Amino acid sequence: MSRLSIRAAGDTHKGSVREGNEDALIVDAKWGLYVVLDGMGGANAGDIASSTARDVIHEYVRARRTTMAPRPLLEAAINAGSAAVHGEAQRRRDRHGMGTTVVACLIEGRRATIAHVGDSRAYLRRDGRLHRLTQDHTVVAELIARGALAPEEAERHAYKNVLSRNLGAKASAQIDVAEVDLQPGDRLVLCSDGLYGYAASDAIHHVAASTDAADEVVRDLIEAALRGGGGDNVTAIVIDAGVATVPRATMVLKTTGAGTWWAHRDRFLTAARNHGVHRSPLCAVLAADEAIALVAGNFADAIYHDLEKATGVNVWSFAENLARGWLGQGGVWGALRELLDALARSADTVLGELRREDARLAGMLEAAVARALVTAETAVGGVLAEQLRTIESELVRIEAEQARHKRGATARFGDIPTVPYMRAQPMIEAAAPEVGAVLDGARRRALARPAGTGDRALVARVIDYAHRASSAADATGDPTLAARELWDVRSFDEAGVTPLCDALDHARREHLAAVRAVPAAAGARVKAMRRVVNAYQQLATAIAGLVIESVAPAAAGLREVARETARLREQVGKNEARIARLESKFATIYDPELPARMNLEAPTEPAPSSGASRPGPGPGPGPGPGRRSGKATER
Amino acid sequence: MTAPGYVAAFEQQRPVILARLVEVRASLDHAIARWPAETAQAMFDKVLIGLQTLMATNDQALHRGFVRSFVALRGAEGLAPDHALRLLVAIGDVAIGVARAARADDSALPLAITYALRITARLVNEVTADELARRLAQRRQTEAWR
Repeated sequence: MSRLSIRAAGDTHKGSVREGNEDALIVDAKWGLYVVLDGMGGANAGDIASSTARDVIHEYVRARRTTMAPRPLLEAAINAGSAAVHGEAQRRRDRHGMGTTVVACLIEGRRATIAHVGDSRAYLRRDGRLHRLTQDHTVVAELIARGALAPEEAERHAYKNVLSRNLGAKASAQIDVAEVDLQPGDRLVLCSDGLYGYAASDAIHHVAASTDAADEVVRDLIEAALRGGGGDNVTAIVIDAGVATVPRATMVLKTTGAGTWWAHRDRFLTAARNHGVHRSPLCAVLAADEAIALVAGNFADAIYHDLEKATGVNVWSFAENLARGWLGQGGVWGALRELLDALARSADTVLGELRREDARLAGMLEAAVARALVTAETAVGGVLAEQLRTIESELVRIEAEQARHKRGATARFGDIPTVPYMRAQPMIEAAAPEVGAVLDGARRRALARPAGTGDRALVARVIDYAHRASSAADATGDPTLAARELWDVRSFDEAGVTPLCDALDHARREHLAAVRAVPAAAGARVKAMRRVVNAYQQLATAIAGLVIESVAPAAAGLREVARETARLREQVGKNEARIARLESKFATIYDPELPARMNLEAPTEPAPSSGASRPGPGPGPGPGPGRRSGKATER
Repeated sequence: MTAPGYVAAFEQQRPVILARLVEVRASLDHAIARWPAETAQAMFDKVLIGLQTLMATNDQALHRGFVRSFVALRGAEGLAPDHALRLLVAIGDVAIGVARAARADDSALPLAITYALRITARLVNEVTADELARRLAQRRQTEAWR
């Protein structure tokens, strides 16, 4: 069987929300092994589970690659990984319950063997279409497969993320295996749920179906997941079969450009000194040499890492850390801007010199450095926006505190804002005539949509209330009253809450689309949209306030139960530790496998200084019963 | 004064870039994925015209006006400025990709778009920083009243 040329790339990102990365991956072109693992488990053991399984699987395949067929080899390797994780979880109490998913691909000749456990996935792109090769091992997926659950109910199901299989739950895993005969032009994509859970499926299909190089596709897939919220660790591996071996511009840049940039690092540091990087207020507490090495040096390294696609601090992290450190301690934006500009000018100096040596390479490098500066600005923008959000929420809190203070401590529960927007809050001033006209037009357009199901009536009511909240300057626009009227006699459970939340969501989208469609001046439309968005935010928060208000007594009870559970759990933990200590002492004192005399001579812990009676070496009472009774007494 | 050649090249490729943007809009932003194609196309076209004007005139004050209204419009839809920034960068990246694919031998246009993107990103940050400064002043004032 003839071989295909294989090009593969993989990367992992901790995402925008998680503190650490519990995903792991293997990209081993030499042995044709590609694996994505997504760890989970209490006490931060998820990364231990995934890295343990990764190391065992990798070692197992390397050791037996030439002596076993791919399918049994992959199954055995995954089982070995599962046994290792299970063993580790059994050995250490703080790692109980840890586990990991796995999707692994082993390529031999033209055949790809794909094995998986859990909800990490494998896709195949063939003839421009993307096919999913794996079925998730989740409780919900299995309920759907058995016909016990409709697919449309899955998204809202309480167990939608609960795995039905994983590595580590048992010593051996139940593995699904598929085999694919690869054709030139095929592309395999392996990924964790952080990709398909956050990137739109259209985006995954589009990016994976593109003809870009594997490393670019990996980067784009991860970016798509981050744009979708990045709520989980995200890992992707792309494997291209039979791709052309003609070097691309990006590959030239990666190999030659990164090296060239690195060779000019010292020149960049000199240019940075000339452009006064060390005089920036951000470097005020550093000596000049230290400032250049820390700031300019790290920036040069970050660009190199991005060019080389190597691990290490990249431009995004560099800029984000710089901005977070400076703005977080109250530094002003102007100083940060000046520093970024000085770094950009230093890079320009180096590129100018390079241009005289190799214009083409300098051109490519110039584009890469310019893109790095865009990345730096984007990262800084994220920190600025984060600060803006923090300060806005602080302002809301201060305002709520002041309002509470004004009302005094004797206010009734219903008058106290559960959340800041909960109090009666009509618009401060009526909308200007041109804005009012846009709001009226938008309401008409939104309500003119054809009536459909019963929920449509609810959507229309929401639009009507939101219109009033966005345009009325009197009490009729009070979102709290509107929320209470919308709530009506609904039950405080999923059957009551979900339809209302759905209606709120639909109404918001339709209402905003209607505002966008009203022919009017852009300024008036912006103001109208702000009012509509505010109205929906206030409505949603007021509804949330009603729910909180109703569940507050139950929540207090739950907190009490949680406190009691924690106390009992702590007691159980202490008792278990004590049992373990006593058993260990007993094992040291008395080993039934040894002859009685050796037991008598077995070393014991040193006697406490108080001289408390403990069994010691030398002749003494009979071996068993006396010691056992000691254990029983202590217990 | 005549505009540089890459501006004409951008003008020529704008319909292709626009079509590509509409095609891949789901990967740029979830919210845009739900928009009708015409609405998304109108928004993308405004951004492309903004970038083209910047490339042709290098007038940053004019471009700042465009950036400010873009951020305001996205803000009115409930999206934060960093979200608007990422969207602009993503649009620029698609434009660069199309420009590269169309003329692999000519790096002038992708480079010009990258520079325009850098200026745009900087201006979004300026707008956000202005807003942040206003809010900080507001907090100082509120705390002084307490």
